[in-house]
Amino acid sequence: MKRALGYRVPAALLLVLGLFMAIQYYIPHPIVQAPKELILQWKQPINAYIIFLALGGLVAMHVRRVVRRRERWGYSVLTLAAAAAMTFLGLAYGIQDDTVFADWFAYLVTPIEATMFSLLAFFVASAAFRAFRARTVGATILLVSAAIVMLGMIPTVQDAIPPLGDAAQFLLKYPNTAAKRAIMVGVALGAISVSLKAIFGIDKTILSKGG
Amino acid sequence: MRASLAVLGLVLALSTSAAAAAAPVASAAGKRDGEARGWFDSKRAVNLGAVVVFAGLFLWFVRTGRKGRPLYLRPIAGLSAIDDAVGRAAEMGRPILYAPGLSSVTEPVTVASMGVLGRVAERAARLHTRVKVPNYDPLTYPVAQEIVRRAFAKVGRADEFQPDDVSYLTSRSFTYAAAVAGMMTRERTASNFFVGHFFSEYLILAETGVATGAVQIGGTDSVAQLPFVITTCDHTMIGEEVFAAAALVGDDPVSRSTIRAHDWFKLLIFAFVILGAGLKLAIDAGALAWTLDGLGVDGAQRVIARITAALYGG
Repeated sequence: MKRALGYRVPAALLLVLGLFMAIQYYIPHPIVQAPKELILQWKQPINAYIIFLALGGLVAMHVRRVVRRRERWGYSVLTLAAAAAMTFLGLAYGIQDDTVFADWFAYLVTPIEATMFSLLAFFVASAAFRAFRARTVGATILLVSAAIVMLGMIPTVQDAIPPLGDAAQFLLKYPNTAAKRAIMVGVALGAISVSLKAIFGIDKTILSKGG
Repeated sequence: MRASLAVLGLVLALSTSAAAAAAPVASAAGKRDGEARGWFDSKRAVNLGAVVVFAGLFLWFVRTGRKGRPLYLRPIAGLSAIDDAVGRAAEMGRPILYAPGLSSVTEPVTVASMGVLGRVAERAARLHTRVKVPNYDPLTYPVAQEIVRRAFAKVGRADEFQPDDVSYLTSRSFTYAAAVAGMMTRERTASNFFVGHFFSEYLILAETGVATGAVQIGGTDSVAQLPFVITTCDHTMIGEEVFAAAALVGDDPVSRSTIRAHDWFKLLIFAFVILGAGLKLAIDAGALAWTLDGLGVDGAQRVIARITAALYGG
């Protein structure tokens, strides 16, 4: 019974629903599309439960850290206080524009996230510095290609040295696009393969219990 | 109860993602069909043909795998480096960080990432090493926790598993990046794994790992982030290699044999690319019309027009 609930029932559901969802992609008839929409609606309450579960786990983890006075437990107090404050403000005053919740979000969360985003500029510079050290033939080709593309994309340089602009466009349009498409084809095949393995019960990584 | 609901959510998610996974093969045709309401969407015929051929190859190699015929599979450098990275963490007495990406476990790449996580966690458990798995997606969190728990139990170290090591953090990308970067800096993780779908926050994670001196293994299907993965990681799994790695980490010969289906289908696509390019050149140079006329084919121009329409979807 336990094995049936842990593996066989989900595997059977996955087979039936997986095949149905794959087939419906090719059949636009309402008889097929209506159940598809219904199945997609079923996901909503499960998603809601999962979010509740995840947030519960997060709060429980921080509470344990505080109670057991683990290293840097002060951060957990801050996290719990911030979560409690935002939850209270959202429930008490709503989350629409011109509420305290929206103001805190706009003037606290957004600037903090923008700060993290702005760090990318420095990280791009440090990553580029490492990548562009011409230590091997491959790295040298990368360095030359990058220099051509970077310079060739500048309007002033394009006007002054037209072949450089053309070379940059060539690199972007042909070798770059070809490589991207090759990767995308491989990714698509891999994705289909993973889905087929899950649907036909070949990949038991996730569904099997105790396995 | 909790695991059962997570599994049910996963079943629904995976089943809905199957169609989405099939779409990239020829999704452009599918997006033009808003008005169709019949029993078959003819604009998706090429897509269906491609999926049927691939599924046929896939099932053929599954059969081959079941028969136990030996297959040569090219080793993946990033996968081979997993054991070394885990061993390094064990020697240094520091934890491992495994970031499963920002997409949900509804996406095939995250499912593949979970397979790699199982291998990493199992090796880590054998060497008494902690694996920290910060999650961005609420649905990925219980799945990841179950996989790590199972890996520790499999090698008889269930008591060493710490549930708090696999946690949900947040569903805001830069907040997640800040939290994980802080985790790397505070815990001094010896080896970092970034396997899954990432967006612009990836560079913050990986550059922090470089700064802390961790060995890094990255794998993603995100074409936009691949240059950063290659730049910042010591070992890389590019695109399809993530899916192949998930099949290779298990010892199941059936799962491993499906990788051959990828290779054969790519060969088929390559043949079509060469054929299409050859036809285009032949049409442009007038060689095709000359040949058809020479062979006495009636309506040579009409044939060429149909080939051109097939090539360009006109």
